[in-house]
Amino acid sequence: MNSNLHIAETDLTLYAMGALSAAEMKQAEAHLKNCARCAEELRRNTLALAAYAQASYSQTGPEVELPAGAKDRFMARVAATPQTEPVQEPVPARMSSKIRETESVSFWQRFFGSGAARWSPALAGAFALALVLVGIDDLHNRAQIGPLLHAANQGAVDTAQLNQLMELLTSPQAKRVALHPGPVTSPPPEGKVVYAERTGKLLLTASNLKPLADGKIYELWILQPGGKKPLPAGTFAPDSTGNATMILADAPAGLAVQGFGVTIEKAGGSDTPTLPIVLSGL
Amino acid sequence: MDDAALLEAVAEGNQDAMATVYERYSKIVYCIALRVLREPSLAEDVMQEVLLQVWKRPQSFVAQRGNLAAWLSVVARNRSIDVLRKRSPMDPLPELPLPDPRDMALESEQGWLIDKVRSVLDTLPEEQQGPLELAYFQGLSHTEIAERTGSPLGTIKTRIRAGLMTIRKAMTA
Repeated sequence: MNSNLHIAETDLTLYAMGALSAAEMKQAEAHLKNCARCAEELRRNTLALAAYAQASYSQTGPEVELPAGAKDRFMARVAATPQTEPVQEPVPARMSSKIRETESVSFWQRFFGSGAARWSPALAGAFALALVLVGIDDLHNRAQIGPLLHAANQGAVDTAQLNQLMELLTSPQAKRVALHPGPVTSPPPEGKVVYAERTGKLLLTASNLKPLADGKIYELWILQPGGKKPLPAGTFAPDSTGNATMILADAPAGLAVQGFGVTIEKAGGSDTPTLPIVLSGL
Repeated sequence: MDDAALLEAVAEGNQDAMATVYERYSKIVYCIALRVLREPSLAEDVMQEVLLQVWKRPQSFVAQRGNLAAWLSVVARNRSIDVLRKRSPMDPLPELPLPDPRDMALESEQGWLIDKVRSVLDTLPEEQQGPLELAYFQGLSHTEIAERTGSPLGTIKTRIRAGLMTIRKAMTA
């Protein structure tokens, strides 16, 4: 793969198919984030592959039969699937979410009535039992249910609110977010540069880099002794995990290098570094 | 009813409209998945998953007003390769950029364009067709294709590229 300027056309074709090695895919991904030319070439490749898939289907597909009952199975899933993205949380398997949502409310209304009687020990027991029945009292939710029962026992909940509570707790559409101590401190960015004075070849590896804002890019600088102007040595963008590499990048050969620095610059790179310095080493 | 109107109905929660989407596109999605996975039950799973995305998030399709067939074809292939690789020690396929459906609407919506590509495929030399098929529909890496065919790695890359360029030329001719 040509990482110095642009991705080789053969590699871009393979990238569009996901047929490069994992390391090559990541390298290409990083380059594509900041290279309009390669991104355009990739777009054309992907368009051609879509046409390839469709043309291949028209060659053989029309003779293939769908499995018997496939449509019924699909439409059953449609009927059971809300159109908003479901919450990333496993639904207890004892009842389907659809059944629970529709049946639990009437169950609570029958159980507690519609009045606003104050909480009682009998109702507290019934509430706990009811939570078990609808699968709320699983391990995932137990931490939430404990304080809730406690508050109810203190008289903070009346039976009218109970109906709403049960609706809320049993609704698969409700958004559930676990809260944790915060803010979480991110590990600091770090990196290493290897530079061969004879050939000018350069390797950079970096990790824990923060994501870049739109239109921004990380840029590596060669720091020269004697207060000379830093020389740009290439731009790079981190992947989704904060890692970045510049493999065998071309820098001027024969330089007396004092150190390296990394700054955030506008996309396309700058001629002079912009403060603050993200990483540096002498 | 065109796709845009159909998807607007789907966005309103109309299950009959979703049934029409199924009638229109289930076969192409299923066939592409079957070509990759070669197992009807797995292909049906992929088909359901892909079409269910249309049901869950029709707004994104409505906004783009694209060629649904082309978009679904790419998604079906990529999801199928993901499934294929989960059963092997290879890494799962990274999220690949999908073509902009608006481009699809302009460039490959018309049946004649697909016909042109199909004609080109019929005449594509076997030395290009084979590696292209292995990479796209069997999800093999270029290294695996080179090992399987006994051809040098560089040759495989060049042949796949040449096959795809032939398709691209057919699309713009």
